[in-house]
Amino acid sequence: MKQVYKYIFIFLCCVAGFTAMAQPVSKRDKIDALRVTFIGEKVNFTTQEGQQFWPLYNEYNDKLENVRKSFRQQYIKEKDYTTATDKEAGAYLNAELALKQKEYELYKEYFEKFKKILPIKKVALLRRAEEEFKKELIKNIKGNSSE
Amino acid sequence: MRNTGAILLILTGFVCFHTKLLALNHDSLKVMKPARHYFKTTIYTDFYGTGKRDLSGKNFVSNKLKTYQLNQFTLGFNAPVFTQDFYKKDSTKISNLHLLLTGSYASVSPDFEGVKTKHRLSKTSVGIRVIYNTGKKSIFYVELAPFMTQDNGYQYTQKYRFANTVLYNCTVSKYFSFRLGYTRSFIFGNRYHLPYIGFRVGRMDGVNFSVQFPRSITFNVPICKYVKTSLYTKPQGGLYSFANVDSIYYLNNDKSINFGRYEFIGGMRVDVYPASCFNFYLSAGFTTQNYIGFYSETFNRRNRGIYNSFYRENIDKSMYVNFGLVFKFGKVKSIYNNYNLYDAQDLNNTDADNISNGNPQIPAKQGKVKNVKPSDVQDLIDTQDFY
Repeated sequence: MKQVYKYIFIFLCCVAGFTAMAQPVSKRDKIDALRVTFIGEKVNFTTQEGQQFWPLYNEYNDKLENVRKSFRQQYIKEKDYTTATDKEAGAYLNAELALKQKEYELYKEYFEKFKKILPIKKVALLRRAEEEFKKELIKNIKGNSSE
Repeated sequence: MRNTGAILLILTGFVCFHTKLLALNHDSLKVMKPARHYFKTTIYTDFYGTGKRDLSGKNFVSNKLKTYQLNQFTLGFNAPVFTQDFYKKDSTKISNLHLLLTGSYASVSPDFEGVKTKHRLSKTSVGIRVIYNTGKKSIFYVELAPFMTQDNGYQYTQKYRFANTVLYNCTVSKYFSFRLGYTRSFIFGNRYHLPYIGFRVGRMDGVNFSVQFPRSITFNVPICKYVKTSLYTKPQGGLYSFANVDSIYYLNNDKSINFGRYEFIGGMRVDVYPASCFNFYLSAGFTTQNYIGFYSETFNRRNRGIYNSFYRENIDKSMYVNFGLVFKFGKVKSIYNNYNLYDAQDLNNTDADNISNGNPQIPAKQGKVKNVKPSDVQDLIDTQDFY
């Protein structure tokens, strides 16, 4: 039984150490999960629709997030454009245009796919749900800033 | 002096590693790579221990061994090595193929008061797991887990064995799925070829009841995003090489024999997920249907099926404790509401020794998010949305 106590002691030390060091689940992950729940409730997919829609929607969001993050990391993060050179400013604007173009292409590509698996009314509901979710987030942010 | 050199080397390595990481973090030319896999690389440790029980003493072996107690430590991993998405004709259905490398090292210490030698039986396994998700309702799962078992310190006891599982999973809806297949398993303390029959009722990301023969019966209740609880029963055991140094097998001069054991453990388990890269679990309860047995090598030489024992005994129940740490690494693709992949995650979380490391990648249903900052949602909202 001594060995059990020894292992329990080591386990508790490890748990305490790793829990203290571990990065908590990011708020962005929580918001993503919340958005998915919000959209699911608003659009009310059938089982078959849901099984086809969610893998595509996840893929769409992963790609969108990836292009946005790449742009942000390269051109926004810790970059002060008041002291930037003309070349740097030009590169930033071109990259932003390219980002908007990419976002549009992704949007077009995936909404064509969504139309193939969902009734057109539900695709419209999906767009409305995404917008409503944004409004909810903005309300939340505004509520925080007024406190 | 040698120690100082080693410490200097470690410190230099640490500094270089961190410098490189920081440099990467601020490199303006870095282009983000999209996630390639759906499964995170997982490393887990598991400890399991039972209390001491008296053996019946009804025969020579039982009388010789006197008591029985067991401690088991497992260190394992699974890592995705290849993932391929396939699109159906109209590019609206995504099917995917996953190849994972799996491995584990288990150290089992059966403690018999009647014998002087302390046996540490080990089982080392390296295998592969293939999961194919058709993108509709089906998942095909194949696990090949060859392993080596030996009584540590007695190299001549080395034995190679092979466990495998082939099964079909059908996710009928988010509330129901069933599994059918075949498994060649040693978790019942012997070599068995068993059918795999299972079903789940209830959402994978919510309350559910799951019967997976021969692996487990569980009733899962998530308390919140960070804590999940379950009531469960499952068999735990194995077949290990055992050095016959204490002359447990007295009929022949076998140097190596086989030790088999299993117990049905039933109790409560709490899984805690403090972070996306780390979780731990604690479990306790009672072991029932406890069995130990010894099998002769020479007697079973031509036996391709279930080993015949020269000693077997059903022993008293006992309390057990089980706990483990699980680490998950890597960036993965999103699987929100993808119920096929939830089932695939569930299949991937149990190893050939029937040790489950939880289901941390299945996102729990969210209630409300408070105190959102603009920086948290900058990808979701355009500046003009505020007007």
